[in-house]
Amino acid sequence: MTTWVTSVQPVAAMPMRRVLRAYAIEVKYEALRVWRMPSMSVPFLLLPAPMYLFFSVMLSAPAVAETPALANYLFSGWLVFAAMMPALFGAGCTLAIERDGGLLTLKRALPAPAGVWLIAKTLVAMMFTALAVTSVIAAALLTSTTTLSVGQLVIMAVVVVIGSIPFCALGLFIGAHVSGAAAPAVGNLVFLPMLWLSGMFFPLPGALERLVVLWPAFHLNQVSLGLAGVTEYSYLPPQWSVGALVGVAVLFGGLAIRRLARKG
Amino acid sequence: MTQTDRFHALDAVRAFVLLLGVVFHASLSFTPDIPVGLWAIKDSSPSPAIGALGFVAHIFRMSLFFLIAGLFARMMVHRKGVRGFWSDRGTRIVVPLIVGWLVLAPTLTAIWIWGLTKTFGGTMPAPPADMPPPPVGAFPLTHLWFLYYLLILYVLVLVGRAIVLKFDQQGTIRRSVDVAVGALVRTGTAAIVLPLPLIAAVLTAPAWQPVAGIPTPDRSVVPEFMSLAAYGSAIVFGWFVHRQIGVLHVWARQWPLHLGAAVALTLMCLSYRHEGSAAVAVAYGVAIWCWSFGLLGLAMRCVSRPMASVRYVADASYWIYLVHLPIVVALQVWVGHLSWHWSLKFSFILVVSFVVLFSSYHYLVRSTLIGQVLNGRRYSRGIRHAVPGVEHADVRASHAADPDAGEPASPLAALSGVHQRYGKTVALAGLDLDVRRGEVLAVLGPNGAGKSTAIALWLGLREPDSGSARLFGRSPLDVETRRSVGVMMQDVTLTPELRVRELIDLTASYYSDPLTVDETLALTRLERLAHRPYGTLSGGQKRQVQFALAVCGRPSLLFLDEPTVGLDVSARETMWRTMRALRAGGCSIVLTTHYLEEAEALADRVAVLAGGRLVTSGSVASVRSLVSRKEISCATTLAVEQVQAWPHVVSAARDGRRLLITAVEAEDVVRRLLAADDGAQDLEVRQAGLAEAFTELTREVA
Repeated sequence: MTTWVTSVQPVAAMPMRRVLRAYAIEVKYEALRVWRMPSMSVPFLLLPAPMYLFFSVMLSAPAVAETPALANYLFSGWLVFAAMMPALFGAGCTLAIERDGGLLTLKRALPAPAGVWLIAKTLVAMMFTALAVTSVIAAALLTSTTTLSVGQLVIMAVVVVIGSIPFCALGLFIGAHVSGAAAPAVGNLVFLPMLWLSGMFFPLPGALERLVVLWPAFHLNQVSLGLAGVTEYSYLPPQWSVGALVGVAVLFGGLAIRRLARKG
Repeated sequence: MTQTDRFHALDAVRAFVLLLGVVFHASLSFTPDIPVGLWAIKDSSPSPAIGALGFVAHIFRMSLFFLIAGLFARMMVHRKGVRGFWSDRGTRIVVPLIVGWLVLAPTLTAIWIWGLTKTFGGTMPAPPADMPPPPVGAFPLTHLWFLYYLLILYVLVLVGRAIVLKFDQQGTIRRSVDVAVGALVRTGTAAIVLPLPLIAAVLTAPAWQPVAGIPTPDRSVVPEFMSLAAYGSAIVFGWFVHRQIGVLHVWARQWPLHLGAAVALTLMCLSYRHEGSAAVAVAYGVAIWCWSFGLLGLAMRCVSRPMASVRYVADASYWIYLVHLPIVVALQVWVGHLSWHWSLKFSFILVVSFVVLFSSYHYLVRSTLIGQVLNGRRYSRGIRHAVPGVEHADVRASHAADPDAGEPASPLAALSGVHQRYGKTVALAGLDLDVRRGEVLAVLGPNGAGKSTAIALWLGLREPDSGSARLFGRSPLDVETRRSVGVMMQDVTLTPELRVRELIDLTASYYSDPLTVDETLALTRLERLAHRPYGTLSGGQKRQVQFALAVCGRPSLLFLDEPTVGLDVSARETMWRTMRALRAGGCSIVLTTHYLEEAEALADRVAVLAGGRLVTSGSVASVRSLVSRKEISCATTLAVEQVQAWPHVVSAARDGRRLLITAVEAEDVVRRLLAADDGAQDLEVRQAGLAEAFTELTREVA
């Protein structure tokens, strides 16, 4: 049996090396956890590319033939789609489940470094986003359905991966407020309308068209297109959309943190 | 939370803003927005990035400095009295202001002339024809203006304090202000309300632009309105923060929100830095306080412990800020026309400046009279001072954080006069309870007695409505304090997808010196479950894994909330054995349980709670002895009904040939029993068990 000797010494600050290790281990196990949840990892990784091929390559072929620039617009939209799922559901649903089970309360009682779970969930969502985005890019390159250069594709991928942070904040906000059982449903109540109302895939009626600016997905799409230099469908200066996304991240992230600090 | 907790963090932030001032001044020669002639030199390699860095630094650094100054000012007034305060400030503010100005002003003037001469091709430029007249009371305060404003604001604050004390002898106004300040901080609206004086001043100022920030009031001894509004509100707010210092922990929780908002607002101000609209003024004002609260909160999270390196820098920072400007500007002038890349020049200026400044502090200040004047103490050469000194973090308070250095009987964890309500339900009503070093404390009580609430307070999961909770003499909200604590909660669902050894590895990563995964598995006899996913374990096995997580950090204080619920006999004995081993190794344990035999078997001390109050505490024997009941057992032919009717008999029951009697005055009952049946055999009398004592004690309270 292990010999137990504890010394009641003054509590010293944890060395920075160990603090960084704690963050790394949290990220590792959060990633492992999501990877081992087929209800999460399968749709996150396997859905975006087939969806892109089906809707944007097969079904939209006539429209793209008429307006070639549309292909890049739709491609960017599916990149945003690939970012939204891990962020909204990966971060939000797992948080809600942890809250239900009292795990978050336990983590608050343990000497976990500041915001470790928040950072882990965000980074893991970004990692899954990166994988999903890569699959969509691979699908686009294999089918030669995009006219974007490699540089533009890289810019779009980086923008979308970083741009998943506001969706993480939104997911965390949902996860901080609803039960584990309700989180997927509530997530879908946000996710599905946003897909349509952000105007990324379908033409909208005039009245709704003016409201696209309310949806972060629209802004991420605008930043992706704008920074990659796709001018045809850039309606807003990228800095405006960046501001909107930062605002969403700060607002919903802040509200989630505030709620969790009080209620666990 | 002790005062020390806060002041290490505040020392660090104050040092940060002072050193940031060096960076800010170093950035000015590279800033494209600064017109030629306004600074000593305009570098030939301007950089928008460095300009943005300087812009951001200028937003908040002085307001944050004055906020901390206000907080320390009230602390000093309360520690030394008004006379002592002025004596101290005279030495540490007035002397550096006067002596510093006499030395620095001529030096700076010479360097400025050198720079301007270099800029304008070897000759000093003639003053522009449209140069505005000098302001009233014109005087070149140089960068020492902040000392001058500190003195003015100290006077105003202390005069205001004297007036309030005279007219508010009941403290009504002060309590109202405390409530308002507390509400502003807790609701996160302080960052919006505090800048209102500055915003009002900005909106009345002609042609204000964010690029100018709060204009540096260094040209006149007559105070400028905008500076007074900005820094006056900061110092007054700092004063009120010290009145309820716990609000710092609110910022410690809100720092991501504040810093996130600060970044967003700063981006907006950067984008519109040449536009003086009301919206930008509001954004600028709110950004000041978002940065300030965010950085304070971050410091509370990261540097609230005494650290020799941080303390060294904190001590050095005052000297460095006082003397940095001639060195920085001279270097700027020297490299100003060289054809290096701006990043190289900027780095060169900063590295050389800080090397010179820290060296001068170490060799000329730290152990000399100058150090005595500036920092209130003179360090001996060659002696390493691990414990910070007088003003910032007193030794007494540091020892309070050190369980070994405190008094022998100092508790590891303490609740003092704690009240806690959940809506209308009173969970704790003035509870006083300590955990002593090396003991196993069993906390007993019926459901709703307040046991779990007490543990939640000790672990920092809740803050008491009133009273205080301490862990190792510190606030349990401090994450470093909890680094010596292990926790097993009553209801928790761990991540089902992770394997047992992965869960241990994850939890151990939060601790400084944990057991290895294999050691933890061996200690808790869980080797056979190491590779099983947590979700596939039985209820009892899950409790064993939770126990393993509680001990893997090698804690010196362990909180176990009903640890053996759902365990079979073998697993329970294993856990008891481990707990005894932990205790023998010096670990203290707080154990809540409904199994009273568990408390009897393990506890050195028992605390009985009921109705949110401590009913009694002491050794198991002493708690049992509080109850006068005894149990009498004998073989007799007497009828149960007959015995039950006797005085002092609480209950009677038959078990085969034996009659079991619970009695209050056992001696009287035994005498009567023997008189009634002279054939009674195998008489046994024993003290009531803990279970009976517990039942009686808690029933009395109910």
